[in-house]
Amino acid sequence: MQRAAHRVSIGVVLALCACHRDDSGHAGDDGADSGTGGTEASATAGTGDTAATEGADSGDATGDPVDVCSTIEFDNVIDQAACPDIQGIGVNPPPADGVEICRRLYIDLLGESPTDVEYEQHCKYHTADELVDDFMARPEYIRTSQRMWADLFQMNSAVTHYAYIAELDAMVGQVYAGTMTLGQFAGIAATHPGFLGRWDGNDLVAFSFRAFLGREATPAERLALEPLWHLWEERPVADPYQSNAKNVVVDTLNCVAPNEADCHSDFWGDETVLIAPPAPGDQSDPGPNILDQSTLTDQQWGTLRKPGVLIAQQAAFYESYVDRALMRYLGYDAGAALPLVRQALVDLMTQTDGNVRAVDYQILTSILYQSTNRYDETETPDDEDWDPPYLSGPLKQMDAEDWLRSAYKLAGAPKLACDHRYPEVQSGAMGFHPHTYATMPNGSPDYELRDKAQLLGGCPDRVAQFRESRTGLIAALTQATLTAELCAMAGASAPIYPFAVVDDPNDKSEEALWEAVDQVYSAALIRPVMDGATDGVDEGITLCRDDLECTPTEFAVQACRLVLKSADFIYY
Amino acid sequence: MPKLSTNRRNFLKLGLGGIATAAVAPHLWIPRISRAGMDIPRSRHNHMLLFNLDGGARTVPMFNGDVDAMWNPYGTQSGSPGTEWGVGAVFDNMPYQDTVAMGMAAVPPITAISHEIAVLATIDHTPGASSGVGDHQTARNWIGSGFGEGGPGIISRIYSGHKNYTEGGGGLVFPPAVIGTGQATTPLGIPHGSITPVMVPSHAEFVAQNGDDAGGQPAWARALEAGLDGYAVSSRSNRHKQVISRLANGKANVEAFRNVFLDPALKVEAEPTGSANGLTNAQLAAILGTSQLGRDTALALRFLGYGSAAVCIGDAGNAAASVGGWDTHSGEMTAYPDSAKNLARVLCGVNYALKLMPHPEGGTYWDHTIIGCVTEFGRDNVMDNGYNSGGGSDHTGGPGSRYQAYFVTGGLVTKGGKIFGRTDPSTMDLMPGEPVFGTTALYAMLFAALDIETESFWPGIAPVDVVFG
Repeated sequence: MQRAAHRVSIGVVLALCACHRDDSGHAGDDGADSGTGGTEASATAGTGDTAATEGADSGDATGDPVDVCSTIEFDNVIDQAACPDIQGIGVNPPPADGVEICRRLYIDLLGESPTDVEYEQHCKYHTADELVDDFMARPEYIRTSQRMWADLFQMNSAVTHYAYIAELDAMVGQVYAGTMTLGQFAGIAATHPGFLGRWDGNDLVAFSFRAFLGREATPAERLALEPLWHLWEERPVADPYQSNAKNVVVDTLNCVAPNEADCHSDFWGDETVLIAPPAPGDQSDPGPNILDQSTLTDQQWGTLRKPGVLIAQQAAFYESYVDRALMRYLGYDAGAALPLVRQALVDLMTQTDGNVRAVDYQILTSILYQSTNRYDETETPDDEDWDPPYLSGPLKQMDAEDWLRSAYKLAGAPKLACDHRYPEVQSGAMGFHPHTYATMPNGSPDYELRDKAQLLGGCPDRVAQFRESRTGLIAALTQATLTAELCAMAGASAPIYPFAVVDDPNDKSEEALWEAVDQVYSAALIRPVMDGATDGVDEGITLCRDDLECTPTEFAVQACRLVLKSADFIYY
Repeated sequence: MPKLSTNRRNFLKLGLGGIATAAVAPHLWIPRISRAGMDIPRSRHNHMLLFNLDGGARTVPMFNGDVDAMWNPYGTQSGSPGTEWGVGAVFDNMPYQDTVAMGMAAVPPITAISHEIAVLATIDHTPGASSGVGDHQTARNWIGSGFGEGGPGIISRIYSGHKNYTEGGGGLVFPPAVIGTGQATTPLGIPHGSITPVMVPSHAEFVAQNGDDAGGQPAWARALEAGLDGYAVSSRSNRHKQVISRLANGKANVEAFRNVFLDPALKVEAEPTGSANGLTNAQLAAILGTSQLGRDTALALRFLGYGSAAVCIGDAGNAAASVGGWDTHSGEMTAYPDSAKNLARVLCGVNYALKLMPHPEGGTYWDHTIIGCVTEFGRDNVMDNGYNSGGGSDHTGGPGSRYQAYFVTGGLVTKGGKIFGRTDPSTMDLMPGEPVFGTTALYAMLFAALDIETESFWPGIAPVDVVFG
């Protein structure tokens, strides 16, 4: 009953019209087409040449949603789980067209927005599911996933030995390459020196919970579980590439008699994490009872890794990953909004022994992900009356680093990504430790991209700054400042100006200016200006034509700026 | 959660772009002003300056020092006459001399102005609950939004509820602002619908964000851009409209405040001769110091000078601490004093500077500003020597971390020097018959001073009023 009542209020997914106002745009014939809507779309959505999207089919759903769904075949577990809340109430969200899905996957999995050329090369002739397969096989997918975990672990070599971080990061890569399960990873990561070198004491419990259980540990949990990490400490060590390096060690003296209880916890069963001092009575430090982690035996590691093993056994372990993956790709808390979807993915993780790629793949090939985010809904200020987020495709804001790299690329000056492992590269007597930043002539890392991205919440230092999506006045001001620099820098050969834009620097005709803005827009967004926006563009062109200071060249530069900071570009 | 009583769409028409000159917006809510709250000096012309001590600061040794050494290992010192709260010996007690070379009097230390500072010594996020809040996330929810489950940031709520922005009539009024990037500070700027305050990472980054041209673009480009963004908004669901509107609103504000952003006075470090409200940037640097907190506070005073109703400044404190600046789980005995001294230095500077800044409504900014602080929690799990085994302190939600000591000062505060809410010196438990002040009630007080009703979203929460009347 509730669902039926809800159905009458749902909006309609817009029939996406990317056709040019006079059908002369270059992308009208390849960038805007879409597959058919509905449940079959998961297999066929993408860049097919079928005609226009039909808009949301919010027609009658007959009978109980579960009965309706029982008549539909699904090849995606979360589509099936979500069906009672979507198709079961008579909604068939149309798929995103080829351009929309290409940008979405490109940004989510490869970490940047495609140019029109890249669209032609990598997306145009492939279905959405083929793109998922392709992109998930690329190293960029691993990298964007590693970045997420680097944020979770707050990796920073100013605090932690760089080599430990590199090893832990590589392990994340194995998880996303499918060669390590999430359970195996947690079992190691919770006591990996890259993790132990970042926090101390109760914080080790707190950040293990955040990373693997998706919530804060309560004070009682932190106190009760800390004994499982009680042996770990750090000691300064000489490293030619990091003057502030510390090694992670096991101080076996921490729990010698009569303090054995300091290494015992009964919170998750009776558990003791204890390594007996190899030289009883010896209190020296350094000394034989202070064991560098690199010297530990497999048996000792088996004892010491108990916390991670216990974490991986918690009921919330898979659920936490699932919720995070849903948020990553859908941009809203789909785990809470659609509990059956969460459960389906938890079941999948159980069946696959914690294969994160299987979870990511199901989300990325689902209707929830591949539907268009164009949607027509009657405006109402009361958010309780709004349609639920899963009736349209996801809409997210680009990460600041991804936006900036995409903008640099379009301006003809592509930049390497920030090294997600090391917000600030450390150095020692022999120079800087290894990193992937570009190198300046003087040998120091090139932080130009990092410093600019930090202004918008990207490439955070993870000590005083953390990744965030900034909006509002100052974010807009920053985008205006950065795009002014970028577009002034972009030469005639920059991708943002695909045909140098201005054929005749004296031609201020409406047609010439329209062509300029269309070219710039298409270079960045792979389709010409959409029909619904033409009135505003017309007004801008008219005002430019009336303004003596507005030259065609200036018009093109400003078009570059406003496209790069447009909602169409930043939100995807 | 209760709904806003003000009409969001009217706000968009009125407030966005910061152009608060339109007619009176519909205002359906009739606030239930408790008798207790009647003493609070309410005015839309008042301002709020809020310091957020990121990480969970040990406030007791600073502002409630008359407790056992276990809870205050730093001791106490005498304050100015009329001071009843225990002034921590962790603070400096000599005047700050940097202003003298500029022909100005030295800035008095906190021991000389403690009678102008009131202390609420039993601030608790969850009054009446069986235990206090000991985890960062929940605490950040409380101080970010006034709700344990989180929600729109309080600075965003001020933006959406303050009459300067909803009713107009005040000319061009700079929005409320958050300065800082800490994990406990940025939640205060979580959007309220499509409404987002000014979010500045720091004074230095603000200069880079501003550039040389403050985002200037020709009128025709703005029209073109508005056309593109307008369609991006209109072709989306309501919840996505709200998200994209934040971008469009931000752009409108960039244009509206361009002249503000071009003012050299906002470059508090790079333009020493930049001047506003009677003070040059060089003078502000001498008054507030040149620490990150000092510079950020200078920028905050500039924003207040442009009419901002409220500014929150995040203080990272000792950045070397493991989680956040004030989160001194270890090494506290060396890290904490510097953080405390720097905070005091800036507080003394604010006291000094605001009294020199003429306010457009008469008097000085000191007369129209309420200054306070928040932090996630206090500290506990300490041994008799005042520290845990790592030379720091933790936060378990026990009395030592639960009952925090917050300062409240400014010309609006009439009971400076007093302490409200007493704790047992040996256990930090609440003394019999003593009041507990909820974090949300503290915020209700600050909102009341700005003449913003809170009953619609914090129903039944009576604002703290003991520092007035």
